[in-house]
Amino acid sequence: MSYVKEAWSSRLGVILAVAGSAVGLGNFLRFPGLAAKYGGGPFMVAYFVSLLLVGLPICWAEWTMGREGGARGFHSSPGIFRALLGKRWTQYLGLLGVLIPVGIYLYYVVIEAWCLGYAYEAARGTLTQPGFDYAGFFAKYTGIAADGGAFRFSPDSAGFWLAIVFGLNFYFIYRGLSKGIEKVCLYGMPLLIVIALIILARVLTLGTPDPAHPELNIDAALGRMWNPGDWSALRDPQLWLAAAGQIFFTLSVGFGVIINYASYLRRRDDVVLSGLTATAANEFCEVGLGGLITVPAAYLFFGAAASVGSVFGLAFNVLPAVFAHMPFGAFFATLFFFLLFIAAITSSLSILQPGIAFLEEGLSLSRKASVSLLGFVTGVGTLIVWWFSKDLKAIDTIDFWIGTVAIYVQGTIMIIVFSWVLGVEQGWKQAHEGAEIRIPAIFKPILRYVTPTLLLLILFAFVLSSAFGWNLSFSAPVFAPSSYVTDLFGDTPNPVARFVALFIVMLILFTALLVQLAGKKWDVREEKKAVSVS
Amino acid sequence: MTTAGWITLIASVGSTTLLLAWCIYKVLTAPSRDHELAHVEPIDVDKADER
Repeated sequence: MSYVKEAWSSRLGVILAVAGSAVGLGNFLRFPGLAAKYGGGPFMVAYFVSLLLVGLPICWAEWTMGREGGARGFHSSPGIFRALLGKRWTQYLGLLGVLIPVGIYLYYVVIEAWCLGYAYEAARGTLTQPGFDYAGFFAKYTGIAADGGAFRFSPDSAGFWLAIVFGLNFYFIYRGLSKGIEKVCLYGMPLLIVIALIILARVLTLGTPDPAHPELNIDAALGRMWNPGDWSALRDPQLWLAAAGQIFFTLSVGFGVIINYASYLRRRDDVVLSGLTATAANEFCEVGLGGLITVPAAYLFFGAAASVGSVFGLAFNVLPAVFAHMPFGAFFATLFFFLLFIAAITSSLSILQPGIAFLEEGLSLSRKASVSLLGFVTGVGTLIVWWFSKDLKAIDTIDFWIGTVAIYVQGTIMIIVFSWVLGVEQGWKQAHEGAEIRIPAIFKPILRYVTPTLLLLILFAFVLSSAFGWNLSFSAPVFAPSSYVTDLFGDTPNPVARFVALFIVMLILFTALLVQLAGKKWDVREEKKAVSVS
Repeated sequence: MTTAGWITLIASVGSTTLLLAWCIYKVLTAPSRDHELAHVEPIDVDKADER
């Protein structure tokens, strides 16, 4: 049987696509908020240590496993795990590598639509009106007040932009890897950096925007972000958990995208330098651009209180107000939200590709059929997220269980498979096939012992603290289950959280069924191969 | 901003910028491959391993 094989058309394209997948809203919103919250210096120490001990090792492991799986003819996590480990049941180890991206897409595309919608509102001057009620506008736009509150289709509503963004994503995915994703990232990533540099130049040249408040100046604003607070904060496990979590999510490791992207390389294509370059591009956008724009800008106009808060609060309430106070505010607000939209679409495209790859190779579906099926499933899920907008409960529930817990689980499985099942020696050898730089030897023991141990610790600490409310203290432990647990099992469960959890369970079962069907197809393929060899 | 703040900023932003610049330099100056990355062609599924 012959079929048209997907491939990258240039090395720069692969690197920009992986970087585009990694650079998302978190780079410009979550990272600066965390760094400011935990006090610059100590957080950055924990952040860079996490990058070296967790981020880079998993990144290289995932690139290597992906390229090896691709060389054996597989592009989806289930197929790659089965091909590498040689046992039928191991295809289920890659199940989350299909489920996680699909699950994240359900709400990520909604947030992406908000960004594009806000860019439109900024361009027509809505967000820079004097005395504008930003919190009220955001609540109406997203439907926080009541379920179904965002279910509108006019251009001044999220629904209109959701339809456009959803269609755009599937249009580019339908065009394929090199003509779709690669093209978008090839133009989108440089554009994103140029826009970020323009906004950065604007923020850094604001001086003292309000003479009545001389204390709110650019020097103090940068200090808010970067002045080291109390170095004893390095003894705080929460800080380490936050830093490691940020590294884990910002690099897009562990959830099926890099392993899928790398599978379209050939065995003798470099993965070490490419992986490092994509990581470096993400870090530059996060630390070099994100770290200098959002929190300093918020501080300049509203002081310390505004610069730390929720990601959505910073993006959609504080920053529009900041731009409104600037000269040419509407222009810079439009640029900023368009920047967020580019960051989001390069990520959302990447999280659709693993699903497409799995449907095509596992079920032998044509491009049209696989895009249609994935479009239907994600369409239903997105409708649920869009409708159940009260308190953003649906988004929050999926983000926690799939966008956080499941990613930790899949990342841990991946690094254990690479380091202990396949073995570091073999993985090391495979990683260096065609490599243009060598991984420093110190990373061998890190890959074998440190990264898997840290990931297991992070996984348990995160689940125990975020779900079961552990205060991370051994001497005086306190457990107070969070809303993620009480919403599902408490005395007064939240019906939306329960419904969404049920949807997630159904999604898991559906994916498991598809993996089972794909496995049967791969059985036949292996039998044919065995016969032809004998 | 304090001196320690400037050191944190320059070390953090500088290290990531230098790393990216070095990586781009290495990528751009790497010896050209004996093949193109693009291999969009019909291939036989059973011969995938031989790529």
